[in-house]
Amino acid sequence: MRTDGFYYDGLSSHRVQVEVYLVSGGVMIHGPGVDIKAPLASVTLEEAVGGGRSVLRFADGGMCAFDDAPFADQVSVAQGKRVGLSRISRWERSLFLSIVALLIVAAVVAVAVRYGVPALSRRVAFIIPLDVEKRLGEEVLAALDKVVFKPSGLPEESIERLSVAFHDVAQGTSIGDNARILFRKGGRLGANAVAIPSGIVVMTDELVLLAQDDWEIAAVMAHEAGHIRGRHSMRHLLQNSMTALIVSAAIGDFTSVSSMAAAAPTLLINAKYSRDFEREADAESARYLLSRGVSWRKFADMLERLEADHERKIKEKSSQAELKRILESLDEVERKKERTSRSLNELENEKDRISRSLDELESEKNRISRSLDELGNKEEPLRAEQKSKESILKSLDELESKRDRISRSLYELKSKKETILGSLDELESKKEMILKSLNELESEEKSSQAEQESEKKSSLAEDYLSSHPPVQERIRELESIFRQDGS
Amino acid sequence: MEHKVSFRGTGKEYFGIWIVNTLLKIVTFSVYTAWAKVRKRRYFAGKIFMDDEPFEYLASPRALFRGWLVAAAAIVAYTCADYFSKMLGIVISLIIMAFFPWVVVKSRIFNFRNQSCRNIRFGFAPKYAEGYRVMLGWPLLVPFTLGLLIPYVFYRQKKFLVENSSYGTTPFRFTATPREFYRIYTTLVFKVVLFSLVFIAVFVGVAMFVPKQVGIYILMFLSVLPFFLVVVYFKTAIANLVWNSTELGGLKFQSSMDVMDMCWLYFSGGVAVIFSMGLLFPWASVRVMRYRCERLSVHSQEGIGQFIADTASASVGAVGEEIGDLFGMDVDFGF
Repeated sequence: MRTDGFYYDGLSSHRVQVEVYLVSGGVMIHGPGVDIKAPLASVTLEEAVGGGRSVLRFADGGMCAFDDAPFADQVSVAQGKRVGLSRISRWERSLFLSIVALLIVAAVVAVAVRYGVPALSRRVAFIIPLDVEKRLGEEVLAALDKVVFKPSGLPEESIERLSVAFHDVAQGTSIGDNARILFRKGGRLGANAVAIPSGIVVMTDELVLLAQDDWEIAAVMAHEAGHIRGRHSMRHLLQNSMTALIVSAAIGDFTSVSSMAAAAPTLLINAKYSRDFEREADAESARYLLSRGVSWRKFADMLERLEADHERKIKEKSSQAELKRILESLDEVERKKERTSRSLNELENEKDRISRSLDELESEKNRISRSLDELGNKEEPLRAEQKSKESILKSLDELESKRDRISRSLYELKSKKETILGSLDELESKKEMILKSLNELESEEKSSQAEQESEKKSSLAEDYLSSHPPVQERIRELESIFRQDGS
Repeated sequence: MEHKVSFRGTGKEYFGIWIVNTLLKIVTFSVYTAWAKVRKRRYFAGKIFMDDEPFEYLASPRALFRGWLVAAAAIVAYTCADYFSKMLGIVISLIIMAFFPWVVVKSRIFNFRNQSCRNIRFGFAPKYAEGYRVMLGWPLLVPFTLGLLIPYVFYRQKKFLVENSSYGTTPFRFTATPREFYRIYTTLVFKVVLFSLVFIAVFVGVAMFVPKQVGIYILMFLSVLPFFLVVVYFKTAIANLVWNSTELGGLKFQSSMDVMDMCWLYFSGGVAVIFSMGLLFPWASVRVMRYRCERLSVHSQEGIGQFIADTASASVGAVGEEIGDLFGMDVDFGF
């Protein structure tokens, strides 16, 4: 068996066209200046990744390349090895198998993200030393205090009363003594409560004021205590970084453009995780209430009230902005109207002035005509007088044309006045329209306060809704776990 | 005579290699990384042809795996240290920074020694002191010169990388002058000013006349665009200059990549990768590689058969290569 190929001795970049023979027990290479016989055991056969020529390497560093797959197979057979492409090359080169690989990648990522990451992060979250978590919690709290929260305005005694209630709720959390509650004015967070790492719960004044009784507040505390017990904030942090790692490792290199492509699925997955955590904490809250002989409906009521409060706030914000816009445009119309009136007055004045100057011109003309007549009557044939007569006639002409010009501009002024009057009318009607829409808005606001459904959602609400499942869904979930009647 | 350079890989071929690599990396918890890297580089090297002769990547996955273990241990130590104490993290990152020139040199030695064509290996044999001078010493002076030294530092770095490389026993020569680097930088500054003015005008125009819902996306796009154009211009111009100033024995290189072509390749490739959730990544990388080779040509008087192998150099470990890779250092890798 023979084939054609090239030989490279490994000493210079010179290549030699050769014939390659497979003989019993060895490989023979013949070409100009090349005459090699090597035993099969000393030769290694290499295939090209992705396809291309095969390479025989010799012990002395020489190399022979040829483009003949059957010949390569024969060499493999003679060496007692498997025939054909290596397993991995066959896998890479088959479209079907590549697609299978793709599907397996997708499935592995999906399973890892759905089950592996949560399980792993649960393990890790409970191993992480409390010191580390404490430091993290303090950093988060400091940041929140700086950006959103303000000191609480609640009276001392209610803070004390609620802290005692929290102590009852938080008993049995794995964080132990470190669980504590803090009260802050929520600012743009409004009525809200958050659990941050190391067992700190921050509750806003607005939430305390919104609740109808202490059980509703305790329900929220129990929900947050559920987050603490499950170390949710730590797990959330871990899960987010783990998914980011997995997704970007799966689809491309860490530093390439594909990490941008990785961001989108990561966000979706993270939203799913926080929904799971909310459900867990909801169940904890319901369980706590039931253990104290209170209906879990207390929690559902509080949730609904919180949602209504958020929506009201959003609506207020948007209708306030609308109102402000309309009032501003009304001001603008007023200002425009004033300006127009002023310019109308100016126009009137101008007209008067022009009429006056027209009168003056008229009288001047008369005077000149008279003096011309007088001059004519005297009939003194003096050249000088003739000259002055001519000049007077000329100035008369000029006066005539000036008069024409002035009457023209008077006419223009008249039409200008008319248009200004017209625009004034327009402004008036515009103002009326704005006032009407203002009235409409006010009545709409009144009616919308009655109905609870809101259509416009600001970014605040979207933040709230994206990380939390819809309240109705959460309550239904609780209903399915606990009994309908709430006892 | 001209020696044609071409890249003969296809997106379909690379897709198979890439997806199998990805799968094996995932199921082996990244242990397969070394083998994946070898397959990828063997593929890319084997598809670059000069005069119908392919390049070869010869690194052994085992060597890379040993390097990967050391680098992974370093990165775990760094992460833990950073987690428990900020101060320790800073100290360690300073140490790593001090190692940067060493990493670049080691990595280039590893990759060049393991790259061959016509059964002759490339090489890289610099003095470490010089490496520290051009990659740490000179850059430290840049702030004191208000950045005026940057082109010169770049010139010194490229000169260092090219002149210490070799093919067999024949060293590469670098004929560029600092003046040429300064010219690229002045053009760059001019372009930055020009782009800024144009984009401020367009920005204001869009902000005023386009409805907000659409406008915000256009503005986001516009704010990245000048940065993108400038970076692509810079990379393309420097790559062209370095190739055109490189000689090897009687070989002269000529690279004529076009900035707008490169912009289009990167932009359309990036969009395709994002919208295919990463699946078109192999196609995009192959496309860029093909263009680069297409625009590169090699000329010589007497052909390329007379280079002599360097049989004296010892083998080298892959620790530098893997540290550079895992810590995301931008280590130059070319042939």
